Amino acid sequence: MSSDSRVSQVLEDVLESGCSPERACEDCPELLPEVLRRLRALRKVEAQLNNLFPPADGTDNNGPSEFLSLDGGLPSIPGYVVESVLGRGGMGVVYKACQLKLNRPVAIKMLLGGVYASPSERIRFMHEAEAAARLSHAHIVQIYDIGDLEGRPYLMMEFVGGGTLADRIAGVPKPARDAAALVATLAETMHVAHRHGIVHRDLKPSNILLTDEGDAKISDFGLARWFNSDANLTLTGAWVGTPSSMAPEQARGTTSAIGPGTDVYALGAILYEMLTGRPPFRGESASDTERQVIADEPVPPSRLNPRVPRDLETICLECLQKDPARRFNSAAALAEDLHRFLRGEPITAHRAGVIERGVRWVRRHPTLSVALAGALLLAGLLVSGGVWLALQRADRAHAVEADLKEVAAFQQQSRWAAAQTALERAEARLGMIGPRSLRRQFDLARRDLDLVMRLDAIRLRRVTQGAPAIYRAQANQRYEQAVRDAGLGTVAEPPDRVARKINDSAVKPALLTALDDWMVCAPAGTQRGWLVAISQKLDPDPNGWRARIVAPATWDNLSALSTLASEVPGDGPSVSLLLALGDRLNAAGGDPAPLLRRVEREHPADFWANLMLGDALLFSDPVAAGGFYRTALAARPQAAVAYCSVGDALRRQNELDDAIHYYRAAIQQDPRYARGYTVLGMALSNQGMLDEAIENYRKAIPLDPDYTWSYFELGNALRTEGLFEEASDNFHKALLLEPTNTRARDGAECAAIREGRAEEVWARWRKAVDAAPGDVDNWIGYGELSLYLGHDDEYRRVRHELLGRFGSSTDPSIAERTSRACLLLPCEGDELRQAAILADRAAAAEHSTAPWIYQYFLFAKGLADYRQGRLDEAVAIMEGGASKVMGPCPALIDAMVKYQTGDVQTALKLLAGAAVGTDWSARAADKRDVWIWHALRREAENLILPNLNGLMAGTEQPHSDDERLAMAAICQFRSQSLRAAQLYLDVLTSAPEAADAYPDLRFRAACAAALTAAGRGGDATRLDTNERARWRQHARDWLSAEVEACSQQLDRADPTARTHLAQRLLRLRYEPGLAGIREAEMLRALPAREQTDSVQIWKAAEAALNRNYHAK
Amino acid sequence: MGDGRTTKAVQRYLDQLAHVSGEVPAEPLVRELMAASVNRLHMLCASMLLRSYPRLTRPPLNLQIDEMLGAVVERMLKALRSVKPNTVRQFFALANQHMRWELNDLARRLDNQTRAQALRASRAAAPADSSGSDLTPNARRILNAIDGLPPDEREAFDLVRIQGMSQPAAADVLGVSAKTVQRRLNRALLILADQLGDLQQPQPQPARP
Repeated sequence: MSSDSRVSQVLEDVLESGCSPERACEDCPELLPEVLRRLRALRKVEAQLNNLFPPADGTDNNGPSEFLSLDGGLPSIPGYVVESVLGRGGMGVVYKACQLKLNRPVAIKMLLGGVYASPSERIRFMHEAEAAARLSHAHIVQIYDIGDLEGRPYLMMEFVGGGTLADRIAGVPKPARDAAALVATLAETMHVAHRHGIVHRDLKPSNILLTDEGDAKISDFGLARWFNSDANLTLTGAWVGTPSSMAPEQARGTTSAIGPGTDVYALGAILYEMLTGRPPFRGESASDTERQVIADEPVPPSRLNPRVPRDLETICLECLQKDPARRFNSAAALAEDLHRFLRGEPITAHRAGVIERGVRWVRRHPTLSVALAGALLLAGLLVSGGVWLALQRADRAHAVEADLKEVAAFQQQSRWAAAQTALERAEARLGMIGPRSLRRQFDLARRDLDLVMRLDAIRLRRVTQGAPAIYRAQANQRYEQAVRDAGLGTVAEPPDRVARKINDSAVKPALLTALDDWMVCAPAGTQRGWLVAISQKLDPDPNGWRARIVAPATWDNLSALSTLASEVPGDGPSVSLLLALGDRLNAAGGDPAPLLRRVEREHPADFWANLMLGDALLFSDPVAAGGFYRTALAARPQAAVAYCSVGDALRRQNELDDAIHYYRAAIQQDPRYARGYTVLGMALSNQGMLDEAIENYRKAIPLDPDYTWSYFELGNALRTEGLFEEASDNFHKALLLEPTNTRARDGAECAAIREGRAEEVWARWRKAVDAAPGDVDNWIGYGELSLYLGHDDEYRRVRHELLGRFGSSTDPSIAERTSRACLLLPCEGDELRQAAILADRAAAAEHSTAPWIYQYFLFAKGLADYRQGRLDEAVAIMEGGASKVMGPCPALIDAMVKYQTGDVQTALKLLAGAAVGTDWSARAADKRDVWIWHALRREAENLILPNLNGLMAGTEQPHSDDERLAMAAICQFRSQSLRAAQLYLDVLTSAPEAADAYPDLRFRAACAAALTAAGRGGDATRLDTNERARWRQHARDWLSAEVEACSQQLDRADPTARTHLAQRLLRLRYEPGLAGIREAEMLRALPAREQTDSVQIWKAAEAALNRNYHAK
Repeated sequence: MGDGRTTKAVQRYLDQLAHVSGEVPAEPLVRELMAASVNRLHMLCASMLLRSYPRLTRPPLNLQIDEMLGAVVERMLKALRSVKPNTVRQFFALANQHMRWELNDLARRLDNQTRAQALRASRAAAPADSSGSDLTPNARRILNAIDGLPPDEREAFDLVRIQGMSQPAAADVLGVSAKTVQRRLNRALLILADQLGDLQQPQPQPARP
């Protein structure tokens, strides 16, 4: 056998058996190096393959990578409960566990079997781990214990829950002072370790863990070579680490040179990555990176991020010196210099001087430099002695002047961030005692820039998507105050004078921009006129666009604004003026997207243009909106609003995990940004994490008490949790802030309906319609409520009005809602034709509508098809594109079609399915959509069960279980709990398998039984104690069967089905109907045995949910 | 996808298909039959686009996978109409071949797009997560190498990696043991590693803030 085929054979063995390459080569040690080389190559290719063909089910024990992971399941270690897998890597697996004795969370790092080749290696590992375990420091991840489980070494460590520094950086530069402070802490910590004789050797952002409070903790002390899977592949003693974070002496493999200086280098690399968002060296391949680490000079951080202060850059580059002797001589020295920088004192690290830079240049260009060597030598001789000192002092003043000139230049170009950086640099150079003239110049520049930042902050705060009127009024006040504080003038001063002052300002462009935004916020009349007069003086605007925008005939007039927007050239007036026009257009109810697209095309990097365009597209095209938001984010990586916006775009696309990531980043940027918490809550609640969502809404409210949506979403969440009174409170608060917010109004009204005041709401709604007859949603809601309450004649009147007023609307979303509302009862003649045309109009808008909205449009179309007798078309839509929306409605329409085409059996089945699958109680009819459900249910029942009246009156008996289930739905609606429970009992007794056909059956039955037992419902008030106990028993039996079924299926189901099953379990926790056998205070009144039985069920449900949560 | 039921379901469709005469009525059956494969193809294309060419999904190109896949389903349907597979195995062989073709085609178009975009002046501000280079002709090389695998290895690879089946399900289709499937997969991986040893390293995942 040739050596090549033997190598292949060994490789196959390794892959198949999962044993270590060393063991596989026991009989043929000469093959080991080649086997290891090919294994490494194989892993690289495998990574590419995994990228291109991700495993289908999300588990990673699928396919050939099995040999890298431990066989599934959690290990059991005496004294600990292993709870979940925190991460997997080349070195093994990290688990989260609980130490039973001390009841504290720990992390267990379990290494792969075969990590050490021989018994002596094992002893060495234990020694090194022990040394690391002796380190005890607030910023070091404490090792509690080391051990061995079936040949696999493991470390038991402090659990640190806030992620790694690498996650935190993730390619985005961090503020310079934060970076300096963090690295100073790390350097101090490293100094302690160095004093104990321990070198870390693999410091990198992914080894820095963060606590929930944001404190850094260093992990993997001195053990890196054991954890790095490549370590045992080289077997040379000089391990290969992560190339981008290793020091040149490591890359060269000179083990003897590895010492504290190696860690200083790594600290510099961490600082570099925090300042620039990327490591100092990053090549095409690992070997390329190694080459760069050894031979190349890092790109100065300030070239990648102009905000990096010069001194910090100097410190960073001194750490990254190739020669360890030229770095800081200890981690402590590095820490001290960082603290000097933070205190604004001169640092000790020095910039590479002319000569040093020359030397480096020579190193890079050896041939070219020989010719220049003579000239350099001469220059070197001239600069010597006392001349040097004098020159240096003059140099410094000169440099400050140059910095300030730079500030001015940047200000002219409106590059505010760059100006800010230059100013910080000047400040550092100036120290406390610069020449007075320079100091004055500096103070002026500082004041100007502070004003720019203040104005910008006002604008940022305004775009928070709350009630626009509130935020405009706030911004108006703040602008006024800022301009007054800056000494630029007040409304009382003549515009001429103010304009002159602004004209003389070094930051005139920023002031002009602010004036345009202020103009949008200012109330009509004197103040707006004053602003326009100032702007006109400064920005000639020869075509008079500004005057046309503010003309009273245009300001609030949609068609005039639209005309203006279509005429204005994207490259004509200033961006701020164009965006002001977009703002107006939006406020008047128009679509600013086409205008903003043109603006964005002319100013592709403008933060505001991208942000506003994203906002305009968010609902119609979230993917494109996300792109513009990202561009805005790139322009301003510090703007919390940009992170939130990217998150919004992702949330619209149902990418909830990613959205949450961005929302958290927004909060990290600005912990006082209220909207950040609210949208984070919304994403969490979409994921079913209601408690966390509520917590975030509650955080948002005190931060910004004017933000309507915090109250609204909190109300929604509380309602879901069954806390109706508090929910109603919050809806009312939202409504108080923004009386025109229809969703808050609906929330408040629906809360009143839940409290049984439906007729009262109906009367109020009627008044609202009369007061604002132009509001289509008002009409529709009123019509739907009328129908739900059985005021069919009033509904017909509304239908007539709706078609008369909005029948010709070209807006597809109005067309959809109008047609749907008009077709909820059979309809004929002109009205039917008109409603059908509206539905067609909505359905034609497929390409301009987000898919998830378009499903609703399809539903309207299907409903219209049904009303027109086009039954096949209706079924196609109801079973196809619209099947996922409008709750039971598609199935109900489908059922009616089936009945009309003679398929009575299927019709009954569908009706029963809809009956069981929905909560039909009047209490749940507190959402507008649900009124539609009830209307269609009523129609379907009357059609499919011609003897319905007899059945409900008891004069006729049901023939089938499906009829019983349909009847139970009616009983639910009429609040006849006892009768509903009896019907469910009949079905479940005669045909237990019905529970499989209707997954909600046992849940509904249990609710009905529990309500009956609690004496709730019109027919359940007079039961005696025994009967109540009997119904409680039924409820518990059904519930425990439900929990068991869900729990069993959970373990086998795919992710989608799992989510669904988890929802089924979750609702048990919140369903008000089950309170009688769930809530502690209710249970206390029951016999002890019943209490235990109940508690057992809830425990089982929670355990299943827990298991599912950890499996994720 | 991924358990024995898949195989049975497919076989049922194939049996039904065999009993359908004429061209037209077969259409819905074929469509249903294809749904799983098309879903998986869609997922693979999306992950290729998003992982290897994220920049193309943003302005100014705004490439969307649905647009790019518009013709795919139609083409696969056409192919399966003209050749009626008799067994589950034949069906997947056909589907796999078409999926690889489509992926290759997509990769080619993406490379062209990337190149075209690189020619255009880049936008003033690159989004924060576009670090890392865009050009990854690796996808096409990998697909070519898969094409060149020996038949047994390729079939196992296709079923597990391209169709996303579990190893036991693939074993079911092929009529061999799960162990054999695993062995073939390992061998496929070794061959691919030999041929692709000089590939560029995978680009870092798009960074997030």
